[in-house]
Amino acid sequence: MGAKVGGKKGGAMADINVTPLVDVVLVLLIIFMVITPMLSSGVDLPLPPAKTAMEEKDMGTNLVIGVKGDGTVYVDKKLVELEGLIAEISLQRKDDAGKDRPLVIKGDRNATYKQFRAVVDEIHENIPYTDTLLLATEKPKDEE
Amino acid sequence: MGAKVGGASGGSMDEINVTPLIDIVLVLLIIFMVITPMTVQKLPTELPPKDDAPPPPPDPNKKQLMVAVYKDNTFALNLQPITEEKLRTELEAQLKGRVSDERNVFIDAHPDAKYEVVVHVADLSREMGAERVGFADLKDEGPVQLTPEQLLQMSAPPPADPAAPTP
Repeated sequence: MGAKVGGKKGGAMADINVTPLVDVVLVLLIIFMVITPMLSSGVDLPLPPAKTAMEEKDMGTNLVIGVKGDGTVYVDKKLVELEGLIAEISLQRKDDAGKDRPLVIKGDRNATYKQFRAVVDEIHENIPYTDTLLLATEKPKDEE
Repeated sequence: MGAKVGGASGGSMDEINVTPLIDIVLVLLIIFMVITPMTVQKLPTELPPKDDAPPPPPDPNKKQLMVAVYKDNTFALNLQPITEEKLRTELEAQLKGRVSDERNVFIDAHPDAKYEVVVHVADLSREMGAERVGFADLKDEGPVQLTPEQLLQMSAPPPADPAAPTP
Protein backbone atom coordinates (compact mmCIF):
# COMPACT_ATOMS: atom_id res chain seq x y z
CA MET A 1 0.00 0.00 0.00
CA GLY A 2 1.36 3.35 -0.90
CA ALA A 3 4.54 1.87 -2.40
CA LYS A 4 6.06 3.96 -5.12
CA VAL A 5 6.02 2.30 -8.47
CA GLY A 6 6.46 5.19 -10.90
CA GLY A 7 9.80 6.52 -12.08
CA LYS A 8 11.84 9.10 -10.27
CA LYS A 9 10.69 11.93 -12.43
CA GLY A 10 7.32 13.32 -11.31
CA GLY A 11 4.20 13.49 -13.42
CA ALA A 12 1.66 10.65 -13.13
CA MET A 13 1.43 9.19 -9.61
CA ALA A 14 1.30 5.42 -9.48
CA ASP A 15 0.46 5.02 -5.78
CA ILE A 16 -2.92 3.74 -4.70
CA ASN A 17 -5.16 6.48 -3.45
CA VAL A 18 -5.95 5.26 0.08
CA THR A 19 -8.12 8.17 1.15
CA PRO A 20 -11.46 6.50 0.26
CA LEU A 21 -10.32 3.33 2.04
CA VAL A 22 -9.55 5.31 5.16
CA ASP A 23 -12.94 7.00 4.93
CA VAL A 24 -14.78 3.71 4.66
CA VAL A 25 -12.85 2.06 7.48
CA LEU A 26 -13.33 5.05 9.78
CA VAL A 27 -17.05 5.06 9.10
CA LEU A 28 -17.23 1.30 9.83
CA LEU A 29 -15.33 1.88 13.04
CA ILE A 30 -17.75 4.58 14.13
CA ILE A 31 -20.74 2.40 13.23
CA PHE A 32 -19.38 -0.41 15.39
CA MET A 33 -18.64 1.94 18.28
CA VAL A 34 -22.20 3.21 18.18
CA ILE A 35 -23.84 -0.20 17.74
CA THR A 36 -21.84 -2.12 20.33
CA PRO A 37 -23.70 -0.91 23.45
CA MET A 38 -27.04 -1.53 21.73
CA LEU A 39 -26.32 -5.14 20.88
CA SER A 40 -26.53 -6.61 24.37
CA SER A 41 -29.71 -8.57 25.02
CA GLY A 42 -32.56 -6.79 26.66
CA VAL A 43 -33.01 -3.18 27.55
CA ASP A 44 -29.96 -1.03 28.30
CA LEU A 45 -29.67 -0.23 32.01
CA PRO A 46 -27.01 0.07 34.72
CA LEU A 47 -26.41 -3.38 36.19
CA PRO A 48 -25.35 -4.11 39.75
CA PRO A 49 -21.77 -5.31 40.10
CA ALA A 50 -20.99 -8.85 41.30
CA LYS A 51 -17.75 -10.78 41.55
CA THR A 52 -19.06 -14.33 41.72
CA ALA A 53 -21.35 -14.28 38.70
CA MET A 54 -21.00 -16.92 35.99
CA GLU A 55 -19.85 -15.50 32.70
CA GLU A 56 -21.15 -16.65 29.36
CA LYS A 57 -21.19 -15.38 25.81
CA ASP A 58 -24.25 -13.35 25.02
CA MET A 59 -25.52 -15.18 21.96
CA GLY A 60 -29.07 -13.93 22.42
CA THR A 61 -30.25 -17.29 23.76
CA ASN A 62 -31.50 -15.87 27.04
CA LEU A 63 -34.85 -14.22 27.36
CA VAL A 64 -34.02 -11.10 29.31
CA ILE A 65 -36.58 -9.51 31.62
CA GLY A 66 -35.57 -5.95 32.36
CA VAL A 67 -36.63 -4.03 35.46
CA LYS A 68 -35.78 -0.37 35.21
CA GLY A 69 -35.26 2.00 38.11
CA ASP A 70 -38.65 3.62 37.53
CA GLY A 71 -40.34 0.23 37.88
CA THR A 72 -41.09 -0.29 34.21
CA VAL A 73 -40.77 -3.86 32.97
CA TYR A 74 -39.33 -5.01 29.66
CA VAL A 75 -39.38 -8.39 27.97
CA ASP A 76 -36.25 -8.29 25.86
CA LYS A 77 -36.58 -4.71 24.52
CA LYS A 78 -40.36 -4.49 24.66
CA LEU A 79 -42.08 -2.47 27.35
CA VAL A 80 -44.85 -4.45 29.07
CA GLU A 81 -47.25 -3.96 31.94
CA LEU A 82 -46.84 -6.30 34.90
CA GLU A 83 -50.22 -7.84 34.02
CA GLY A 84 -49.09 -8.63 30.50
CA LEU A 85 -45.68 -9.89 31.54
CA ILE A 86 -46.48 -13.59 31.61
CA ALA A 87 -48.30 -13.47 28.27
CA GLU A 88 -45.36 -11.71 26.65
CA ILE A 89 -42.86 -14.14 28.16
CA SER A 90 -44.74 -17.19 26.91
CA LEU A 91 -44.93 -15.53 23.51
CA GLN A 92 -41.17 -15.07 23.30
CA ARG A 93 -40.03 -18.02 25.39
CA LYS A 94 -39.55 -20.65 22.70
CA ASP A 95 -36.36 -20.66 20.68
CA ASP A 96 -36.08 -21.85 17.09
CA ALA A 97 -35.82 -25.45 18.21
CA GLY A 98 -39.00 -25.11 20.25
CA LYS A 99 -37.20 -25.25 23.57
CA ASP A 100 -37.68 -22.84 26.47
CA ARG A 101 -35.06 -20.13 26.61
CA PRO A 102 -33.46 -19.50 30.00
CA LEU A 103 -34.87 -16.47 31.78
CA VAL A 104 -32.45 -13.84 32.98
CA ILE A 105 -33.60 -11.01 35.24
CA LYS A 106 -31.84 -7.79 34.38
CA GLY A 107 -32.50 -5.43 37.24
CA ASP A 108 -31.47 -1.80 37.33
CA ARG A 109 -29.02 -1.23 40.17
CA ASN A 110 -31.11 1.76 41.20
CA ALA A 111 -34.34 -0.21 41.38
CA THR A 112 -35.79 -1.06 44.77
CA TYR A 113 -36.06 -4.60 46.05
CA LYS A 114 -39.84 -4.26 45.87
CA GLN A 115 -39.79 -3.51 42.12
CA PHE A 116 -37.53 -6.46 41.53
CA ARG A 117 -39.62 -8.82 43.64
CA ALA A 118 -42.87 -7.74 41.98
CA VAL A 119 -41.54 -9.00 38.66
CA VAL A 120 -39.78 -12.05 40.04
CA ASP A 121 -42.75 -13.18 42.13
CA GLU A 122 -45.06 -12.76 39.16
CA ILE A 123 -42.78 -15.02 37.12
CA HIS A 124 -42.32 -17.49 39.95
CA GLU A 125 -46.06 -17.76 40.55
CA ASN A 126 -46.97 -18.43 36.96
CA ILE A 127 -44.06 -20.12 35.25
CA PRO A 128 -42.90 -23.57 36.35
CA TYR A 129 -39.26 -24.35 37.16
CA THR A 130 -38.38 -20.81 38.16
CA ASP A 131 -37.17 -21.53 41.68
CA THR A 132 -33.68 -20.66 40.53
CA LEU A 133 -33.22 -17.21 39.12
CA LEU A 134 -30.38 -15.84 37.09
CA LEU A 135 -29.68 -12.20 37.82
CA ALA A 136 -27.75 -10.22 35.25
CA THR A 137 -24.82 -8.39 36.80
CA GLU A 138 -21.66 -6.76 35.56
CA LYS A 139 -18.02 -7.12 36.46
CA PRO A 140 -17.06 -4.75 39.25
CA LYS A 141 -15.05 -1.89 37.83
CA ASP A 142 -12.95 -1.11 40.90
CA GLU A 143 -11.01 -4.36 41.12
CA GLU A 144 -7.92 -4.06 43.23
CA MET B 1 -4.86 13.78 3.44
CA GLY B 2 -2.70 12.64 0.63
CA ALA B 3 -2.87 15.99 -1.16
CA LYS B 4 0.19 16.82 -3.24
CA VAL B 5 2.14 19.71 -1.87
CA GLY B 6 5.58 19.20 -3.43
CA GLY B 7 6.62 20.63 -6.75
CA ALA B 8 6.07 18.99 -10.08
CA SER B 9 9.52 17.47 -10.30
CA GLY B 10 9.82 14.37 -8.05
CA GLY B 11 12.35 13.74 -5.31
CA SER B 12 11.25 14.09 -1.65
CA MET B 13 7.57 13.24 -1.04
CA ASP B 14 5.55 15.69 1.02
CA GLU B 15 2.50 13.39 1.42
CA ILE B 16 1.48 12.28 4.90
CA ASN B 17 2.21 8.59 5.26
CA VAL B 18 -1.23 7.16 6.05
CA THR B 19 -0.23 3.50 6.18
CA PRO B 20 0.28 3.38 10.01
CA LEU B 21 -3.03 5.18 10.46
CA ILE B 22 -4.80 2.57 8.38
CA ASP B 23 -3.06 -0.18 10.33
CA ILE B 24 -4.24 1.19 13.65
CA VAL B 25 -7.78 1.83 12.46
CA LEU B 26 -8.07 -1.67 10.98
CA VAL B 27 -6.83 -3.22 14.20
CA LEU B 28 -9.35 -1.14 16.20
CA LEU B 29 -12.06 -2.25 13.83
CA ILE B 30 -11.14 -5.91 14.31
CA ILE B 31 -11.03 -5.46 18.11
CA PHE B 32 -14.53 -4.02 18.07
CA MET B 33 -15.81 -6.79 15.82
CA VAL B 34 -14.42 -9.39 18.21
CA ILE B 35 -15.75 -7.71 21.33
CA THR B 36 -19.23 -7.17 19.93
CA PRO B 37 -20.67 -10.62 20.81
CA MET B 38 -20.57 -9.58 24.42
CA THR B 39 -20.81 -11.60 27.59
CA VAL B 40 -23.57 -11.80 30.15
CA GLN B 41 -22.78 -12.19 33.82
CA LYS B 42 -25.36 -14.30 35.61
CA LEU B 43 -25.70 -14.64 39.34
CA PRO B 44 -27.81 -17.65 40.39
CA THR B 45 -30.22 -17.14 43.28
CA GLU B 46 -33.18 -19.07 44.67
CA LEU B 47 -36.75 -18.19 45.50
CA PRO B 48 -38.75 -19.81 48.27
CA PRO B 49 -40.98 -22.68 47.11
CA LYS B 50 -44.48 -21.75 46.04
CA ASP B 51 -47.28 -21.23 48.52
CA ASP B 52 -48.94 -24.62 48.09
CA ALA B 53 -45.84 -26.33 49.42
CA PRO B 54 -45.47 -25.42 53.09
CA PRO B 55 -42.00 -24.18 54.00
CA PRO B 56 -39.90 -26.82 55.73
CA PRO B 57 -39.63 -26.15 59.45
CA PRO B 58 -36.30 -24.65 60.43
CA ASP B 59 -33.99 -27.39 61.55
CA PRO B 60 -32.61 -26.46 64.95
CA ASN B 61 -29.45 -28.43 64.32
CA LYS B 62 -28.49 -26.55 61.20
CA LYS B 63 -27.77 -22.98 61.99
CA GLN B 64 -29.63 -20.92 59.47
CA LEU B 65 -27.89 -17.84 58.14
CA MET B 66 -30.42 -15.09 57.56
CA VAL B 67 -29.06 -11.79 56.36
CA ALA B 68 -31.50 -8.93 56.72
CA VAL B 69 -31.16 -5.84 54.55
CA TYR B 70 -33.01 -2.91 56.09
CA LYS B 71 -34.62 0.11 54.52
CA ASP B 72 -31.52 2.22 55.16
CA ASN B 73 -29.41 -0.46 53.42
CA THR B 74 -27.79 -1.63 56.65
CA PHE B 75 -27.41 -5.32 57.42
CA ALA B 76 -28.13 -7.77 60.18
CA LEU B 77 -27.07 -11.39 60.48
CA ASN B 78 -29.64 -13.48 62.35
CA LEU B 79 -31.15 -10.27 63.71
CA GLN B 80 -27.88 -8.91 65.04
CA PRO B 81 -26.96 -5.65 63.29
CA ILE B 82 -23.61 -6.02 61.62
CA THR B 83 -21.26 -4.04 59.40
CA GLU B 84 -20.37 -5.29 55.95
CA GLU B 85 -16.83 -6.05 57.03
CA LYS B 86 -18.03 -8.10 60.01
CA LEU B 87 -20.67 -9.79 57.89
CA ARG B 88 -17.98 -11.05 55.55
CA THR B 89 -15.81 -12.54 58.26
CA GLU B 90 -18.81 -13.94 60.12
CA LEU B 91 -20.27 -15.61 57.04
CA GLU B 92 -16.90 -17.04 56.11
CA ALA B 93 -16.42 -18.45 59.59
CA GLN B 94 -19.93 -19.91 59.72
CA LEU B 95 -19.90 -21.40 56.24
CA LYS B 96 -16.48 -22.95 56.56
CA GLY B 97 -16.58 -26.63 57.40
CA ARG B 98 -20.20 -27.09 56.41
CA VAL B 99 -21.14 -29.70 53.86
CA SER B 100 -22.28 -28.34 50.53
CA ASP B 101 -25.98 -28.93 51.24
CA GLU B 102 -25.82 -26.67 54.27
CA ARG B 103 -23.91 -23.80 52.80
CA ASN B 104 -27.03 -21.71 52.34
CA VAL B 105 -27.58 -18.04 53.00
CA PHE B 106 -31.01 -16.43 53.05
CA ILE B 107 -31.58 -12.81 52.29
CA ASP B 108 -34.54 -11.04 53.81
CA ALA B 109 -34.65 -7.52 52.40
CA HIS B 110 -36.93 -4.59 53.04
CA PRO B 111 -39.14 -3.67 50.05
CA ASP B 112 -37.49 -0.25 49.87
CA ALA B 113 -33.93 -1.55 50.07
CA LYS B 114 -31.84 -0.92 47.00
CA TYR B 115 -31.66 -3.79 44.53
CA GLU B 116 -27.95 -3.16 44.10
CA VAL B 117 -27.36 -3.70 47.82
CA VAL B 118 -29.38 -6.93 47.81
CA VAL B 119 -27.36 -8.25 44.89
CA HIS B 120 -24.22 -7.17 46.66
CA VAL B 121 -25.15 -9.24 49.71
CA ALA B 122 -25.90 -12.24 47.49
CA ASP B 123 -22.56 -11.76 45.80
CA LEU B 124 -20.54 -11.46 48.97
CA SER B 125 -22.29 -14.51 50.45
CA ARG B 126 -21.23 -16.52 47.44
CA GLU B 127 -17.76 -15.05 47.70
CA MET B 128 -17.59 -16.21 51.32
CA GLY B 129 -18.49 -19.76 50.34
CA ALA B 130 -22.28 -19.96 50.15
CA GLU B 131 -23.46 -22.62 47.73
CA ARG B 132 -26.99 -21.30 47.44
CA VAL B 133 -28.35 -17.84 48.07
CA GLY B 134 -32.08 -17.66 48.60
CA PHE B 135 -34.52 -14.83 48.96
CA ALA B 136 -37.00 -14.99 51.80
CA ASP B 137 -40.65 -14.23 51.20
CA LEU B 138 -41.24 -10.51 50.80
CA LYS B 139 -42.91 -8.90 53.78
CA ASP B 140 -44.47 -5.47 53.42
CA GLU B 141 -42.95 -4.29 56.68
CA GLY B 142 -39.55 -5.71 55.83
CA PRO B 143 -37.36 -7.96 57.94
CA VAL B 144 -37.70 -8.00 61.70
CA GLN B 145 -35.63 -5.20 63.13
CA LEU B 146 -34.94 -5.42 66.83
CA THR B 147 -35.01 -2.34 68.98
CA PRO B 148 -31.88 -1.51 70.97
CA GLU B 149 -33.59 -2.77 74.16
CA GLN B 150 -34.43 -6.12 72.59
CA LEU B 151 -30.87 -6.40 71.35
CA LEU B 152 -29.55 -5.76 74.84
CA GLN B 153 -31.83 -8.48 76.17
CA MET B 154 -30.71 -10.88 73.46
CA SER B 155 -27.02 -10.25 73.84
CA ALA B 156 -27.10 -10.83 77.60
CA PRO B 157 -29.53 -13.69 78.35
CA PRO B 158 -27.56 -14.96 81.35
CA PRO B 159 -27.09 -12.05 83.73
CA ALA B 160 -23.36 -11.83 83.28
CA ASP B 161 -21.18 -10.09 85.75
CA PRO B 162 -20.87 -6.58 84.37
CA ALA B 163 -17.85 -5.81 86.55
CA ALA B 164 -15.61 -8.37 84.90
CA PRO B 165 -14.15 -6.89 81.73
CA THR B 166 -12.18 -9.62 80.05
CA PRO B 167 -8.99 -8.45 78.42
